[in-house]
Amino acid sequence: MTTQALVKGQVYEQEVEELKRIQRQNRRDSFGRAWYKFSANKLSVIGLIMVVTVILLAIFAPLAAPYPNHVKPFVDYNNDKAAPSAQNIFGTDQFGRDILSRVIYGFRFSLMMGAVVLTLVVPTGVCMGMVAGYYQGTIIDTVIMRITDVFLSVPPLILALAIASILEPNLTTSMIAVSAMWWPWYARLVYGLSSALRTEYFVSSAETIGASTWHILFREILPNMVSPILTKMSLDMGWVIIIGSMLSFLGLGVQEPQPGLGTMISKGKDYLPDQWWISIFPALAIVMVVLGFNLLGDGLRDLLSAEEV
Amino acid sequence: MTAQFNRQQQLNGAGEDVILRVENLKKHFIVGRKGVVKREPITVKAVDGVSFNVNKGETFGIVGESGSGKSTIAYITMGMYLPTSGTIYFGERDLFDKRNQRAIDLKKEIQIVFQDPGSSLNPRRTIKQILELPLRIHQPEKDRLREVIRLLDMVDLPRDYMHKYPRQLSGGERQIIAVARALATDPSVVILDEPTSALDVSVQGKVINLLIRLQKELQLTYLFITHDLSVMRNLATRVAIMYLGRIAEVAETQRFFEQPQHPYTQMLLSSIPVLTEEEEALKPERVLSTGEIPSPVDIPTGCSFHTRCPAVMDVCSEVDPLMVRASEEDRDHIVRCHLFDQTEPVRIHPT
Amino acid sequence: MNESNGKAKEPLLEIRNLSVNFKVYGGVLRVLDGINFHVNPGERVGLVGETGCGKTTTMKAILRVLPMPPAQIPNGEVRFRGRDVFSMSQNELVRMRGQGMSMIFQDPTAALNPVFTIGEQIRTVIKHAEDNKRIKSEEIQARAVQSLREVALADPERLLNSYPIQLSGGMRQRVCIGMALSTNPELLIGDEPGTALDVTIQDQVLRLLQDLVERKGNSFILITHTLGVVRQMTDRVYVMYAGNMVEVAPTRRLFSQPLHPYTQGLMAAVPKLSGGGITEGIPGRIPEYKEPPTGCRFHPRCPHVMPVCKQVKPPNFNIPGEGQEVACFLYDEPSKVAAYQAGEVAAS
Repeated sequence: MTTQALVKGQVYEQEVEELKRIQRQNRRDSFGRAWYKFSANKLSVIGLIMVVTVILLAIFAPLAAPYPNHVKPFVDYNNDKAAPSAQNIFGTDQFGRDILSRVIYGFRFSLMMGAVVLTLVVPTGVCMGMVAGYYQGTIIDTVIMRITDVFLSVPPLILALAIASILEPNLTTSMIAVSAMWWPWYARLVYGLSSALRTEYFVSSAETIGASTWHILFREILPNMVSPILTKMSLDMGWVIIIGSMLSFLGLGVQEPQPGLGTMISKGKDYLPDQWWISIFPALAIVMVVLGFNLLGDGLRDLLSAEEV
Repeated sequence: MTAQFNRQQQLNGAGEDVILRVENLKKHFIVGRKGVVKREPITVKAVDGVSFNVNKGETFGIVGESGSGKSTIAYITMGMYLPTSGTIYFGERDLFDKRNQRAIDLKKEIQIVFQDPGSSLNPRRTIKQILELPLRIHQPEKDRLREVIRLLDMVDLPRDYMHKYPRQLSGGERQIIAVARALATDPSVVILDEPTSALDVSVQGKVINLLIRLQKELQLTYLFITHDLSVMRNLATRVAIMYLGRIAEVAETQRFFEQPQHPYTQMLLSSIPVLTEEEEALKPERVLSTGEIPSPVDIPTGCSFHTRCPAVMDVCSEVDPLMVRASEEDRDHIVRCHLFDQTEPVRIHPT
Repeated sequence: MNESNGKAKEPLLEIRNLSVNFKVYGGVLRVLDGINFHVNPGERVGLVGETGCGKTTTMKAILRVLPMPPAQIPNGEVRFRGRDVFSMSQNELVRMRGQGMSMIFQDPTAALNPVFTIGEQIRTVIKHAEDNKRIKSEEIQARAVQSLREVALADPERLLNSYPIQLSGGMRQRVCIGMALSTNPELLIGDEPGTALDVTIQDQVLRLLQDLVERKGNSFILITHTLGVVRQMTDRVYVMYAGNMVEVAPTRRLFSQPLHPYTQGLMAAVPKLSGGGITEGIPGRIPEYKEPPTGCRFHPRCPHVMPVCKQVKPPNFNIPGEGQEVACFLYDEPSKVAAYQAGEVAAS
C-alpha cells in the first residue's frame, strides 16, 4: 500500500485542538443526558440526597456532632436516659451520652465498613469472574467457579460469625469476614456477563487482530460490565452495612465505647420500650443509609441501561 | 508443487496466483451426547469437505442459507475455530500448522468485516481507540493519530468522527469504520461476512462501492459471504453456493446467475423477490421452493438436497454426488449433482 | 386520499393527519409528522420505509400501544371501522385487538411463548376472540386444528402438543400466521413477516400468506423495508420517509413509475439480479427527529431540491389517472409532471 498517495491532507496542530474540543463537548453532552435519565425518577434523586447527606455527616462528624467527646469514654449519670429534648435532640443513652452525636459518628463506621468491604470484594470477584467467563468451558473456568461455589455453599452469616469469633472481635475482623462471604457474588455476576460478552463480535475482532488477553479482558470486556457492577455495588453498600450492623449487634463488630450503629441498638434494646430512643434512632439511621443506597442503585440502573433517551 | 500446481490451475481455472487454498475443510461441532452408557456424540457437520481456491485480487463469493456453513468457513479462515480436518493455505503457508497459535504476521494478512456493525465495534470505545488497536499491534512504529486520520480519509469519513462512540454513528458509518479497522493492518485478504445485510438499501450501495474502490486501490482479495444473491451478483467474480456444509455449485458470476445448473441454485434464484420485469425474466423457470431446510444435526443421506429437490431420482438418496463439470464449454463451472455425468470427477486440489 | 380512488365505501382503517412526538432529553422527537393512511376492506396495502422512518410507530399508534409518556399525540386520529381508536374504552380496545385485527411479527421465535404448547397458545387466542360467548372446548380444538391445516402444516393434532422450540423457523412463522388468522380478523398486519427467514423459506411463507389473504379476503397491511416483497404481495403502497408519507400509488404503478425522488433513489439503490453494478444509494442519512429539516424533510438529500422545498412542507399532489399521490413540489403543476416524466426536468 502506498501510504503517501492516500494522505489527503496533513494534520495540523489546530485541527488536533479542534478535535479535542469536540471530545470535551461530547463529554458534557453525555453528562447532561445521564442526569436527565437519572433525575427522571424522583426516588433516585432522594436516594442520592440521602447518601450525600450521610457521607457529608460522616466526613464532618467532629463539626456536625453537638457533643464530639461523647463518642470517647464518657459518663454523665446526671443526664442518663434523657428523653429527646432541645439539648439532646435524639435523647441520651444509659451513660448519658448524646445519641445524635453517636449516630453521626456511627455513620463513619458503617460507611467505612461498606467502603472497605467493597474495595476488597469487587476487584477480587470481578477479576475471578471475568477470567472464568472469558475462558468458559476450560479448566480455568472450572477451577475458579468451583472455588466460588464452595464459598457460596456456606451460609454467609455463619461464615462471618465463624471468622469473626475465631479472630478477635472488632471492626477489622468483621470486615474480613463479610468480604470472604461477599466476593463470590461478584464472581457470579461478572462470570455471566463476561461469558456473554466474549461471543460479541468486537471481542472476536480484537482476537483476530492479535490483541493480548490483557487488552481483551480489561479494555474490551471490562468497560462493558461497568454499569451492572456499579449498580450492584450501590445496592450492596446498603446490604454490607446491614450485615456489619448485624455483626456489631451480636457483639462481633464495633466495640464499646466506639459508636457502632448495631452496637448501639444492641445496648439500647435492654431499655425498650420505655427508653425507646436509645435503640430506635440508631435503627432509623441504618434504615436511612440502606434505603439511600438502594434508591441510588435503582437510579444508577436506569442511568446505565442501554436505552437511549 | 510445479507440475501438479499447473494442472490444478487448469482444472479450477485459477489465475496465476492462488492466495487462499481451502483443502477438504471439515468442521464438526459436538453439540451434545446421546445414550446413557455409550454417550455417543451428537455432531453438527457445519462444514463437511469443502475445497476451493481464491485467486489474488478476485472477489470469491459464498452464498447459502442458514446452516449452510458459510460463516463457519469465514471463522475458520480467521482462526476463530480450528478445522476438524483439512486445512487452508495462505500462499504457501499452512494457516493451521501451529494449531491455534497463528503467527502475528499471518493475522495481519487476513482480516474480517463482521455482519453486525452494532456488535463488532465496542460500544465503550471511541472510533479512535477502535482504529488504534490494530495499528498498535501491527504498525507500532507509525504515528497513530496520523494513521487514524489517514484511515478516516481513506474511507471518506470526517476526521472528527474519531472522538465519537459507535452509537453516535449511523449503521452504514459504523460498517465503514469496521472496514477501516480491517484495513488498518494492511491485509491482503479481507473476509466480508454479510457486510451489508444489517444495513438499509439506501446506504448499502455506499458501503459496497467503497469496498470495490478499496479493492482496486489496495489490491485486496475478498472472500465475500452473504445470503443476498442480488448483492453477490454485483460484487463477486466467482460464486460458490453452499447447502448444509457442502458446495453445491461453483461458477463465474455471470454464468452462475444466467445458467444455474444445480436444482438448489435454481430454487434459490427463483425465490428472490425482485423489482423489475427484467430481473423476473432472468430468474430460472419458477422452481417452487418446497420443504424445510433439514436440521444440520441430521443431514439426509446421499445428496443432502434430495429431500427438497424437484428433480430427485432414486440414486440421490443413496449416493453422495461428486463435483463434476457442468458443461464442456466452461471448464470452471462445477456442480455436485447426479443430473450430471459422474464419471469424471473434478479434483480441485490434487492429493 | 381515498377520493382519488373514486371509492365511496368507508375505509376499514383510516389515519388522518396523525402526528406523534416523543419527549426526550433536550427536546422533542417529531417522529410522525401528520401522516394520512387508509386501508379499504379487502385491500392489501404495503407500508415501505427504511429503519427509523416511523413504520413501527405508525403500527403502534394503530394498535394504541404507544407508551405515553414519552409519546404524545398532538393531533390526528385513527379510525377503525369508523370508530376513533384513541377514544375507545379499554373493553372496546381489547375487542378490536382480539377480533378486529391480528398481527404477524418479524421474529416468530419471540412471538411465541416458549413455555406453552402451540395448542395452548392458539386456543387462548380463539377463546379471547370469543370473549363473552361460551364456546365448547371441542369447537376450540377443531378451530385450532383447522387453523394449522390452513397454513399447510402436516399432522396438526400432533403439532398442537409440541412446543415452539421443537419447530423450525419457517414452521413457527406458519403457526403464527395460522394463529393470526384463526380469529378471522378483518385486518391482518404483517410486520416484516419474512425478514427473519431464509430466502427459500421466506418465499414459501409469503406465498402461503398471499394465498390465504386472497382466499379469505382480509384487509392486509404489509410493513417492510424489502421492496421486492411489496411488489409481490400488495395492491397499493405507501412510501414513508422520516415520519412522512411521501408517496402512495397502486403497486404496479409505483414500480413502473416512481415519482418521489426518495422512492426513485430507494429503487435505484436495490442491487439488481441482472447485475450492472450498484448505485451509491441516497447521499446523507435519515435526519435527526429532534430538529428535522424545515419544509420537505427529504430536501437535504434530494437531488432535485428547489428553494421552496426548504421552506414549505409539500402537500400531497394528485397525479391524474392512476390514484398516485406524491408529496413533492416537482409535481405542483401538471405541465411540470409531464415534463418530468419526459425526463426534461433535471436537478434545478
